[in-house]
Amino acid sequence: MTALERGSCALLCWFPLTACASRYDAGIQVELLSRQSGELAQSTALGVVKIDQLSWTSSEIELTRCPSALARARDWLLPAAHAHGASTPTRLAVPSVVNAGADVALGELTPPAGRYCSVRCRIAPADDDALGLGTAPEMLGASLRSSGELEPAGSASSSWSLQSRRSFELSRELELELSADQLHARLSFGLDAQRFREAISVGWFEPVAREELLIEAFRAAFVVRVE
Amino acid sequence: MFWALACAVCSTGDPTLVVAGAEQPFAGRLRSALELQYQTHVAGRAGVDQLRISETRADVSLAWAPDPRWLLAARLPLLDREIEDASLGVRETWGAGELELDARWFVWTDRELAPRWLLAWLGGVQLPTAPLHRDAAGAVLPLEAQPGAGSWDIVLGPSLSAFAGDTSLYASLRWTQPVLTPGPFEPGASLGASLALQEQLASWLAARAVSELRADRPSREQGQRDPDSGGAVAFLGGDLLWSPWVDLVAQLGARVPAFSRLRGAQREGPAFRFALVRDW
Repeated sequence: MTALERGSCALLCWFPLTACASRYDAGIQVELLSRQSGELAQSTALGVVKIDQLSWTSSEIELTRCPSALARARDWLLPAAHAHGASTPTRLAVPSVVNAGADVALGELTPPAGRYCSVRCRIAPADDDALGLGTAPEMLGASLRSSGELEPAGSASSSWSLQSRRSFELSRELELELSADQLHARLSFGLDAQRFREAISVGWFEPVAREELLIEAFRAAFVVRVE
Repeated sequence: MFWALACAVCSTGDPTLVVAGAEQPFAGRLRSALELQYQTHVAGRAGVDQLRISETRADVSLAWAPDPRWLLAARLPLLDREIEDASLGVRETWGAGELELDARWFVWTDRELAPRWLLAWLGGVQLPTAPLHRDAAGAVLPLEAQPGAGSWDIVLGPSLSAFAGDTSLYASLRWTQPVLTPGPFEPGASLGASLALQEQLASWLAARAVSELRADRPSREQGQRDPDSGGAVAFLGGDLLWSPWVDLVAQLGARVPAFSRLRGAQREGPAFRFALVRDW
């Protein structure tokens, strides 16, 4: 074997080692899901209000870091608007229709390590590609919808429905510290049944201002829990 | 006398120990090298999008001189990259990098035997032999995780070697210009410069002081300019070369970043090298 042949062989022998591969060991993961418990029906002066459906379209969910003193000063001097529409490690921008009667997995965030003090949720009308629209087609174009029956004492029940196409945001405080010692967390989104029941009133069945009442009830009852 | 009779490298008339890529050619010279390097690099903003990259690479190369004016070389890097992202997730990728084929033309030497001055011109091409790494969902991983940019690059540059007794000097410039970028990445053009001053301490031992400069244009990913790419960084360092036996040179060295004007949020760490170079 000549020197050139020996050298070529030495080089070519490396090729079996050149097969490529990759692996990923996940780090911090924050699971997002909707979870509802408690009876939403309420007795009012008009009778028992039964809620058959309560759905909303979760458009964005964003974790917000606990601000440092410097960041607070900067935000005060230079207030910044939220950017919408794209998912980031701290923001899930996948529109999903949430049904208050069922647990729904909304997605997952992989935020940087640190302390998080609040979560911002955007409720907005569902577009064609919103997840979960297949089982709730009436939510197309709606941000919030509720329907049910009103059962007045001694008379036949009648069905009702409320719907909103408005976009609005909610912010809830939370205590969440993510680090190498705390890689996993779960945030659940739902409605406080008692607060929601308390918000149901005769005004729901008046011809005007019903959309606003539904949004206000939703705002009052919306809760986020760290599990 | 024994050295002069036994060693292939003495055909150059100069027994100076030299690293891979700085050799003097003589007809039929065949040289292979295995160079190992470990280096760290940090890109992105802490707590936001920072990537901490540890790279171990093995460059396997073969150089052959058909005559005293030409040195043809092939170099294949094998890379192992470990990347910790801001969420503390760790991705490891490994595989072949981009094969480089080049030719060094020795344009001018001051004399035929044992030249003291050699001026050469390098021309070559880097081929997109590195596979494109994807995650489990099929999405292309960022450039930092890739063993290559997937581009066809042209490599050009002059080099100068000077030998004066036990002291030698090697200086080179190397311009890398991507010419075809069919993949999702568009690496920026890059200029590398190196200057090494070497002192032969004994027939089997040499010490080198090295400075290296790298200046890159920003790269683009998926059509977007990467804000944490490009800029210039200079390293200072040294190597020890020793020859445990005839025709084999071992190299052990380190580089530390001495000057950095990298764009965006980037930080280079020190680099450690070990190489074995064999004349056949």
